[in-house]
Parts: sequence; structure tokens; C-alpha cells
Amino acid sequence: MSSELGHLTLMLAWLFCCSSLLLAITAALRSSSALFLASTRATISCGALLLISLASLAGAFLAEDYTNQFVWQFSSRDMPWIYKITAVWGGMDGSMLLWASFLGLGAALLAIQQRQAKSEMMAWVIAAANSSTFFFTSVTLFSTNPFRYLQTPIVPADGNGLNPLLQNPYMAIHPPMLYAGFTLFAVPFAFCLGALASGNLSNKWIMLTRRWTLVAWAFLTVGITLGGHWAYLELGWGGFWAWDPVENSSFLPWLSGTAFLHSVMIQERKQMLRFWNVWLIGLTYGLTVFGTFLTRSGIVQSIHAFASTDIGWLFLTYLSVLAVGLTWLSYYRRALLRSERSLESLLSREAFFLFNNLVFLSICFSVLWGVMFPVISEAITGVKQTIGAPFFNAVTIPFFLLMLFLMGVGPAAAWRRSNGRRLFHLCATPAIGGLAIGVFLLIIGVRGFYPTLAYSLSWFVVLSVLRELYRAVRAQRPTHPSLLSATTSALSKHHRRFAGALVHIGVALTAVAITSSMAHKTEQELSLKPGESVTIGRYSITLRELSEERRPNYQALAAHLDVTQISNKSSPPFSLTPEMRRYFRNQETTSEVALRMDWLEDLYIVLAGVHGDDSGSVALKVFINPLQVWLWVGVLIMTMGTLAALSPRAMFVHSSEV
Amino acid sequence: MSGQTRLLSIIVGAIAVGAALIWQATMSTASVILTPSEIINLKQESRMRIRMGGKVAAEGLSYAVSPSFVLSFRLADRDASDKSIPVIYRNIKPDMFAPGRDVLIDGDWKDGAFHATSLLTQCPSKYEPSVATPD
Amino acid sequence: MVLIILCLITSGLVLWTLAPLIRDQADPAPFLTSGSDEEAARLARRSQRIADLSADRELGKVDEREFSKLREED
Repeated sequence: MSSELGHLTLMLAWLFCCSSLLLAITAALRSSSALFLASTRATISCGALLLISLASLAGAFLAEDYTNQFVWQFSSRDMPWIYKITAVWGGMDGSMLLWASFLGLGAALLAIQQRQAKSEMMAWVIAAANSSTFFFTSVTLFSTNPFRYLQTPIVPADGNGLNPLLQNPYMAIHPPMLYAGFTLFAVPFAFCLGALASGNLSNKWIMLTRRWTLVAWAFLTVGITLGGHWAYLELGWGGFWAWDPVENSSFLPWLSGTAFLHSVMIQERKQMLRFWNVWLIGLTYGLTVFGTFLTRSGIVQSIHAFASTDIGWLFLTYLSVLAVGLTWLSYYRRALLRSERSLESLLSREAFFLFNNLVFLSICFSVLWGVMFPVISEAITGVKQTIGAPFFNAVTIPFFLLMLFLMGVGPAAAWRRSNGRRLFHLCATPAIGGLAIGVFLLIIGVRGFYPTLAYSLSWFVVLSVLRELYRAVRAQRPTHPSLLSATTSALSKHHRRFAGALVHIGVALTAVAITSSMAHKTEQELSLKPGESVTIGRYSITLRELSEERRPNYQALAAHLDVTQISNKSSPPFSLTPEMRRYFRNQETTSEVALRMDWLEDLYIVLAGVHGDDSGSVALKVFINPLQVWLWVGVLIMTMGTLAALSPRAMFVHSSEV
Repeated sequence: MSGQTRLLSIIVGAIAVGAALIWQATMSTASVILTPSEIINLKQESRMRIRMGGKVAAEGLSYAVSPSFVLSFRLADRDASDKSIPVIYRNIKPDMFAPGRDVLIDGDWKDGAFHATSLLTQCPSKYEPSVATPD
Repeated sequence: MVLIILCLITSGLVLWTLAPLIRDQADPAPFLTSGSDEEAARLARRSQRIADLSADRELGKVDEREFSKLREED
């Protein structure tokens, strides 16, 4: 019943999407606001129907409808209800429906937001947004339909089951967040297409899309980080980032999206870099589609297993159409895309934004090269080769360091042209601070050129932000004697700047955490008998006992460890219990890591096995990851900064009574 | 030279440096992708690192945890062939590792055995086409 | 039962979508032209540039002399 409803609403949504597309295009060509209004309503209807379809699929899972092929394949009766819902995106068909629904929702919100617009540009924008929804809804409806019947004479009693690794709270949030990030970039792209099609290349489209871009970027950042956190907690997935093709496919649009986010600030103010921005958002949207293509076509190997499916061709065709279309449109409107001003100085804010574009695009290209290398090498040399984490680290780290440098220097540059000496003077104190940290670290024994440089540059960025804040507050002092009111006034006056600065601080923190947890981590394998202790780093670890326990769908083997901190006798001892779990259904085993997070470092212990002899001793692997928690904190700060940038201008209430 | 030319030369120079960086890194870290049956047919030892995807065979699996972790197993082609090669991985057995699972390994082929430096079990088939039927 | 509700909802959405077209016969309303806000946009951009320049001065990135020079050139 739910499946049938889902199928019907999917078909109806597709029809409404087609109608909306036609209505919007006609509205643009005929300059008819009635047709425009009709198209916005059709868009909203399409979005609503897609959401009903998605909900119906979830309903089919909850109702254990095993006449549905997709439901049977990815669920079973013994799954908790929450995982029955998340199983919707546990397989290809459902995930495509999720993508289409999010696109439909985005287009519908856009239509609601712009229903009073009545301009040719907006008609083209609505048409463009619907074209994205059209593609993905078509693929879902005609190729990867989650509402197909199971080809079997009798309805099976139970489902095939979802792999235990996916029955995890992260499965509930990581894919939806990621998809929200991907699909929301379709809206700025639609605006870009609309602006080009209508020839209305004033800043209007940039300003209208700023919030959409920020929200998309925030979701994408959080989605990627959640994936990293999930990977960190699961053994065998290579830590928090493995440069796996699937991870990279989500990282690529983030890179070009970040470049776009910055680059549009230039267009907003100086009407420069228009051509860049058209292609940056085109690249970002294209990369989100490319990512979907990569993860479903099977052309590269990944730990996220894929089989070769036919839909790869559909995506390639869509991408080609997008590329050709965007090329033609930019050529057609090339006169309007020319910058109104030229770059006056290489030390200007505009120039730094341009360098920023280049750095992000370089990283983007390098990652793309790495991901596609197996295909490229096979095409050129006939031998299929691959490049992995060592390549990505070797190539991207210098660029990321350059990015940190630009983050510190760029904001200090003035618009149009900076006096070189003045710029140097402004950056001097933060630079000295950064150097001091570098020297200090070398003195206390931290080794490694790149890590030390990363720490120095991150500190340089933080100090640059503080310097700017200091100057801004000082400028307010004459009119606001109290420090507090001067600060709130400064923050309010330059609220976008300091929201961005907050994001940069988050980035610097994340950079430090990534560097330390990668470059300075400790790992050790060891065996412990019950009652025996071992010392690693600051910790003394004792095996209290080994226990076995039967739980609903698995057998757990748990090592109960007592840990004390040697150097800090006053802090209380704690216990960690890493486990090995054997699932009854298919005899597969997973490890449950025992993790203790601390501001200074993470203590991460894996129970690798039990010795075959009767000693009852266990094999453990212990990791100490310095400053790991600051990675998550850094991303949290980045998100807070983005929220601050989204808020209405009067975020800080200025009170003169204080 | 004029501002525009200076900018252009900086950009071109930067691209050249970047391209050189990418090229050098590619050449020094590339590994060749082979399947287990292709390795068996290798005439001489490959100097390059190798990445392999395959299916864990049912026989020949052993996991020792003392004195250090050693996982020995046999790897066959994904599309089930009878030929398999021995693999040795000196680290903790990854999650979901079991006969019949697809895995991705990196390492070297030496003395008739594959010495894996990295072993990852492939995530359960999320995006395979819906063709599975109950048996 | 659900089918009936779906039919009703669908017909409702179709009517809602086509309503503007039916009304249009009596009172066509073409698009607003974009020419009128060009001037306003230009002025807004100019005041934004002046605000940026003042911010640069306040944050110490340009001194008074550079400030007046840049201001004149705009």
C-alpha cells in the first residue's frame, strides 16, 4: 500500500516537474507572469509529491512490505525501527529518491521564496532548478525505482537484512546531511543559469544566492565531517580520512564550493571575476553530479563497494550536456561577463581572492587527478594504475599550507591596492607570533618540517584575526568608552567580516588537529594477561578481566581495562571496554573501539583478538591521537561562524547604556 | 611589465610548479592494479607496488595475535575463480573480514606471496543494482 | 481509500497550478522590466565601495593619504 502510494506520487511528481519546466521556459520566452506563477506552483507541487513519495518508502520499510524488492533487500524484521527508516538510503534506489526529493524540496523552497519575483531571470532560474529535479527524478523513476515488485511467487517471511555496519546512528545523519549539502548547490547554479539565460548579469543573482550557498556549504562541511567521525570510530576504514574515491567525491565540490563562496564576494563588490564565478558554481554543481556518478558507476575501486551499473552513462550524458550548455551560454554572454574593473595591484584584496581561487582549484584538480588516475592510466598506457593516500598527502599538503598563509595575509589587504610596507607592518605581529610558536615547538622536540609549519601558520591565522578585532574595537573606543560596548559595536559593524573570521579560526583549529593527529600519533600492539599492566604514553593500562555476553543479535567479547594517568595521580582512573562482536545472522565480526577523548589527546583502544592458548590473554592495539578532539571542535566553530554570517545584520544588540 | 602580464606569468609559473609537483608525486607513489589471477601469470616480479581487489577464499584463513598480529589468507578473483594467491597481512584483522567478503589490499608480491601493507574490507554493497532475490 | 485521497490532492494541485493561467485571460500581467533598478543598483554599489574603503581605513589597512586618493579615484 505504502509502496504503491510512493510509486504513484513519484510518477505524479515527475509529471509536475515536466510541466513546471515547460511552464517556466514559456514564461521566460513570453514574459508572462501568469505562466511564471503557474510554474512556481507546479514546482511546489512536485516538491511536495516527492516528499510524500520518500515518506511512503519509509512507510513501506516500517510496514515490513516484502513485496517491495528494495525493502526486502535492505531490511529485516529484527531491525530497530529507526534503522528501518535509514535503510531508505542504504541502497542505490532509495538514495536516488532521497537525492531527487532534496532537489525537489530545494526547488520548492526557491519557488516559495521567489513567487513574487516576476522577472525573466527568475523564470529561467525556476526552469533551471526544475531541470535538475527532472534529471534525478527521471533516473529514479525509470532506472533505479525503489518501488519495484520482488520477483518471487511467494512473499518471503523476512527481509535480506541491512549490514550491521550500517545500523549505526551515523547512518541516520551522515548521508542526509551530505545530500542536503550537494543538492542545495543546485540552487545557486540555477541562479547562475538564469542570469546567463536572461542576460541579467548584474549582482542580483549573486546576492540572492549568498544564503543558499552558505547553507549548502555548511551542510556539506558537517556531512563530510560526520563521515570522517564515523570512519574514525570504525576499524578497517582507515582512520578519519583515507582519500578513498567516495570521500574524495564529496570533497571535490566542497573545494570548488569554498572557492565560489569567496570569489562571489569580489563580484558582489567589484563586478570582477564574473567569468570565474559562473564556472566555479558550474564546477561545484557538476562535481556533485560527478560524485554521484563515481559512486554508482564502478569505474574506480573503493572500500565503498560498487558494482558497474548502467546508470553511469546517464550521468555522463547529463554532465556533458551541462558542460556544453554552460560553455555556450558563457560564450553567448561573454560581453556581459567581462570584468568592469581590472586588477590594479597584486597586493590587493581582490588579488588575494584570485590567488585563493587558484589554490582551491589546484587542490581540487589534484584530487580529481588522483581519483581518476586508474581510468587515465589505463586509457593512456593500457596498464591500470592507482595512486593513494601518499600521493594525495604529498600534493595537497603544500597547497593547504599556502591556503593557511593566504587566510592570514588576505584579510589584511586593502581593496584595490595595498601599500606593501603597510601590509607587512600589519602582518608583522601575527607573523612573529607564528614564528615564535614554530621555534618553541622545535625547542620542545616536535619534529617534522610540514607539521611545524602547519602549526606556525595556524597560529599566524588566529593572531591575524585577533589583530583585526583589536583594531576594530580600538576604532570604536572614542564613541564607546566601555570595552564591552566597543566590542559589540565593532562586531556588529563588521559582522560579516568577523563571522568569516570565526570560520577561519575554526579552520586553523581543524588544521592543527589534523596535523597533530596524523603526524604525531602513537600506535602500539601489545598483549595483556588478566591482571597485567602496561605503560603507554601517559597511561598505565591494566586488564581486569575478559567477559563474554550474549546480546540481541550478536555475541560480545569484552576486555575490561582500567586506565590510570601516570603523570597526573590526582585525576581519577577510568575504564575502557573495547569489544569484539560476532553477529548471529552471518557470523561476521566487528570491533567496537574503546575511546577516551581528552582535550590533549584521544586514547583509542582496539581489541584485536584473544590468544588461542589458555592464558586468557588478549591482543590489543593502542593508539594515542594528539589533539584529535579539536578537529571536531574546529568544524563546530566553522559551523557557528557560518550561522553568524547567515543571521540578520543586527546580530549583536548594541546597547549604549552598558 | 604591466600588471596583467605580471599576474599572468605568476599564474603560469604557479601552474607549472603545481603540475611538476603532481607529476613527481604520481610517478613515485603509483601502484599498479591487478587481480589475483593476473598476479599468478606474472612472469617476473613487479617492482611497483600493487593494489588488488578480490574475494577472500574459504580455505587457508588463519589469524594469529601472538607474538604479533599476522593474518594469512588466500585471495581469489571477485568473479569466483578457483585460483587463489596467498596473502600475509601483519596487522589487526579488519571489521567484517570473512571468507566470501570483497577486500582491497595494497602491497608487494614477493617470493610467491602477497605482503599486504594495507587491507580494507569493502563496505557492504550499498549501490549494487537491485537484483538480489531470496533463495 | 488512499487512492481517493491521492486523486483529490492531485486534482487540487493541478487546479492550483493552472489557476493563474485561467485568470490571465482577463488580466494579463507582463513581467516587470529590470531597467528601473539599474540606477539604484549602481548607487548601492557605490555606497558599498565607500563603506569598504572606510572599513579599510578604520582597520588600519590604508592611511589618510591613501584613503583620500582612493576616494577621489572612485
